[in-house]
Amino acid sequence: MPQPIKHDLDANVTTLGGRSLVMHCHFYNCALQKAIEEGMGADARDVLRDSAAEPVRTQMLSLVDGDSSRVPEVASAVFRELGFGALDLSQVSRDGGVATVANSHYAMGWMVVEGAREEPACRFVEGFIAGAVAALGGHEVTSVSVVESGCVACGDETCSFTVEVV
Amino acid sequence: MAVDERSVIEAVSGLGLRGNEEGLIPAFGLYLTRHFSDYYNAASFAYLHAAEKKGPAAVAAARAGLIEAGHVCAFNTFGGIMLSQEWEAVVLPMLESREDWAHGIVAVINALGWGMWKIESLTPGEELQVSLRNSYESEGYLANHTTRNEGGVCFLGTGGVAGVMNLLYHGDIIDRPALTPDFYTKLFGAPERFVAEETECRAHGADACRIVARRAGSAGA
Repeated sequence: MPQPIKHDLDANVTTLGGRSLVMHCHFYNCALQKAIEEGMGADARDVLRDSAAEPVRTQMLSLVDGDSSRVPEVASAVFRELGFGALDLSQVSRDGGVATVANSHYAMGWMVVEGAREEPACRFVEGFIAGAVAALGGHEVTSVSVVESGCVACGDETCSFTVEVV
Repeated sequence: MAVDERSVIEAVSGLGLRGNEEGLIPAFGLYLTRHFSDYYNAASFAYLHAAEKKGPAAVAAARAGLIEAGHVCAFNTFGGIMLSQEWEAVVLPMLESREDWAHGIVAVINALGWGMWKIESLTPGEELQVSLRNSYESEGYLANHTTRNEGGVCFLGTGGVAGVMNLLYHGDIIDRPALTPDFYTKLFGAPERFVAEETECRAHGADACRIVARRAGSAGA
């Protein structure tokens, strides 16, 4: 990790790379996603993805301190440290590629809480990768398309993500 | 014996809750994340604002859905914590009464990065009033939006305060029940359940957020 996670004991505020972090479990993460998906329907995917992308982009820029080539390494380390699973960005460049996640918190959590689903579960992860690639390439997050092409919650062996810069 | 909140906070903060080699944080019988508050806030408030464009029924449904997620959190996270070995080792030795359990779980909550919760009053079996400072929900709202004309935004907090009362005074978490779906339905679906309301919110111009939980159907609930 390029920086330690900081916790202000008096304010109960935790930060990493200038972003506030809060502790939540797979039950809440899945319940919140379910509430938004059921309430917003087809709009939910973009909302969930976009809600992750910009915070991750700005956090990455803060953590790499001007050396954007370090984003893949730092993003994978942060992803693991924060409990989201094991993110492999080795096949992703500033122009796109394919990312994979082993032990995805969202996919595994969804299977435990809700069982299998037809649509991929890792909407937050799509946004996380979009934010990281935006930081890597100096893109706006809206220029990075990330689609989860395989998801453990849908019966696939691993969670995989197709990344394109548009 | 009073709960030494500072020692609880320091103990939980010192547990080293970070991703293992698999990238997971197994603790309290759960898989934890140290998540972006910006993510929760942006997604929740996008849902709320979209509902507000549709009308009162959609707003009520959105609020209910977001608070329900808070109930799920309270049941599993607070419940899991109160059944954990860590609770038994760190917090339980300080607890003599059921009311102490409420103070104990609030002390743990105050190590989760959610802002500072404080029990303002607790009437056993009847009512719990909690104030929240640095609530990540209301502070996150104000970071990106103007002050609201009506309604608080601490949905997780609202569900959480109801959950504390349901775990302690509707169910009996002290008796170590299994946290099953049936038990959840009993705690949050029965007529005698506790429900909570955010009576003041920073996002609505208050100096702090205040949440009160009472029995469903009681005066003020």
